Amino acid sequence: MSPDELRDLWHTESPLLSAKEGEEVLTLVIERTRNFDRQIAVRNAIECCAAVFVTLLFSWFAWRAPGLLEGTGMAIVAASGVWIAFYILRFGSGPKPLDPGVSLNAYRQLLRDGYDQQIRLLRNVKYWYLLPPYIGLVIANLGFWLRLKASGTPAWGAIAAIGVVTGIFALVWIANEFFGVRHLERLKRDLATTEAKES
Amino acid sequence: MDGSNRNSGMIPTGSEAVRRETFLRLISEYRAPPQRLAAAYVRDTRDREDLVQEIAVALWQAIPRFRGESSERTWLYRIAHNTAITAVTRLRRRGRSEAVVDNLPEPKTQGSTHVHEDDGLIRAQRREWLIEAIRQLPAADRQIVTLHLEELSHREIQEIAGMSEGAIATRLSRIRDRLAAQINDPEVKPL
Repeated sequence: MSPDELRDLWHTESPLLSAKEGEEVLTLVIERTRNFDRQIAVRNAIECCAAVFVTLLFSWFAWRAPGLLEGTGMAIVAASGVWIAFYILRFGSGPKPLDPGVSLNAYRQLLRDGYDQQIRLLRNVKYWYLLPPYIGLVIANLGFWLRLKASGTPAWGAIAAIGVVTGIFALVWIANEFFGVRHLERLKRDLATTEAKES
Repeated sequence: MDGSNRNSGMIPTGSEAVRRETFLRLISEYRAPPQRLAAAYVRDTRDREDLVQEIAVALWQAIPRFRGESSERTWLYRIAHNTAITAVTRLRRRGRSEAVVDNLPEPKTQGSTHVHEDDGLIRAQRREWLIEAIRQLPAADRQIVTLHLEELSHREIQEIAGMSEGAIATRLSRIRDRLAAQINDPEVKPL
């Protein structure tokens, strides 16, 4: 088989793939890009609505709180809702698509950097997403406990509430850390394995 | 070759209309290369269709970022290869690797007992064997040989792969041997 024959074979049109016209491809491409943007927008809208709901609800609780500590805790949760909504609106557009027009090595570096950035973001979630409302809820329940204690009523309910809140937040944190981060680390390892096999 | 007359020049970017116009021109001029490259990366026809579409999406997203630092042609091939590599890694994770298929028919040469068969069929089969052999190469080698078959110069391949011309020549020689061994065709000559 001569080099020309090889090239000739290579250039033989594959009959299996459908031949779409330019405008048709453009429509598909725009639709696909918009679908992705739409998914992100819907996810952000749901999270924003939830954050606004939490803000309104806990603002009301803070307003009606019978004690200063409880009121402060509820206000912190309400403020967390505002902060989360702001964060989603400001940074919730998702990672920017990588520039595929760079060399293979540079592209792989971009992929690695992208994974690192996502891992960093997920690891930081506990500080900006979980910790503020958790602190607020713990303070509010602490206030509740102190009030019950002061009135001589058994305070098991408040202690149980702190336990439940801690448990829920711990579950979210574990899911994030052990599933989200591990998944991304696995993707990064896959990339490294592929590269090692090819070197 | 498709788009081979477009070795240089900067893509005008700016308004959405210009972006659309540029995209339509590029996919019209470079219609076949993404399909051939997709075949070198994935076997399944649906995956190939998806990959061709992904390349188009990547192209659409990359147009505003093109600054003319490389030729339009090399830039396009970079997009196609990088998108293909990402797609292959994703398919591997789903367990749909491009591993060797054991039941592929034997390659038919002029001296085979099946010479009476339709020439088109033999040609299609030989092409499949070539593509199958290319698919089994490591990604970097696959990139180099497909670009070579796409008639890009060593200099253009250097721009895309980010390797020296000497390294490309060495690799091409090694790939030639590997392809020859895999196709197991005594008539295989240097690429």
